[in-house]
Amino acid sequence: MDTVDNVSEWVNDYSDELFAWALKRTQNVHLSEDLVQDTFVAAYQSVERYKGESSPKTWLHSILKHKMMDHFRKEKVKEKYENQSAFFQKNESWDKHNNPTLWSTMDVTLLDNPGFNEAFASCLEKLPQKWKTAVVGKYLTDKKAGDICKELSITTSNYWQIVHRAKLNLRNCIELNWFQD
Amino acid sequence: MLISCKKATEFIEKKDIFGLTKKEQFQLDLHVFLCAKCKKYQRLSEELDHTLRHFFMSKSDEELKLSDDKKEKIKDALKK
Repeated sequence: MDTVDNVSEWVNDYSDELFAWALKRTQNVHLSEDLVQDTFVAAYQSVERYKGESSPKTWLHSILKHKMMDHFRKEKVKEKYENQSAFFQKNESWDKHNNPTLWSTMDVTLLDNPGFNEAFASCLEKLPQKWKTAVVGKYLTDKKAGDICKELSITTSNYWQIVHRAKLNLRNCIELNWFQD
Repeated sequence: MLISCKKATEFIEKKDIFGLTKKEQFQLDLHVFLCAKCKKYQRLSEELDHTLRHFFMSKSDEELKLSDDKKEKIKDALKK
């Protein structure tokens, strides 16, 4: 069997699993497909370095992890997200148009409302990819903060700042698209 | 010793993820005691946590599979 057949076999056996792993973290189908494809192409190109010491699955996973880290290292977050002038004034007190108000999400019917979930999903979609993945890391996976930072190529203080900014942006977006209708 | 609203809200997130030093905790407590807006944000932040957790949990059971079409494309990419 030649290498193409070998790696094609791995595509059959492991691509679903790798895709699910990437999709869970990025919540982005297109990006996950690209990362999985890059993983197999990289595996094919360096297959002679694979010595069979770990299972193909473990080896492919480590390639995928590195592909994801590379992706986030290169991702530039748009300036409008980096500066929080929309939320705070120059003196860092609340902007008067953005005073916090409560949502009453403890009311279960809101969270089960399909319209609310749709609005929430589209607000989440608008966040920079890196932020989305940081948020997913905090709420979906049971991983340690340190591991999430590694996957995203960010420092620990970067991590809580990102989650904080993501929450401010989400709140703004939901209030504009849901609560004010 | 007094911190800004921006800083206080950052501390709220830091507390949740990594925990705060004693000094930071004191600064946050003092700020929230004096600032009604940040006190409200502290509760809003919990609501956001609750919403996000609920949102992701409800999605986590979905079956995630790569399409056959995409699999064939990957195999084609190997041949190039």
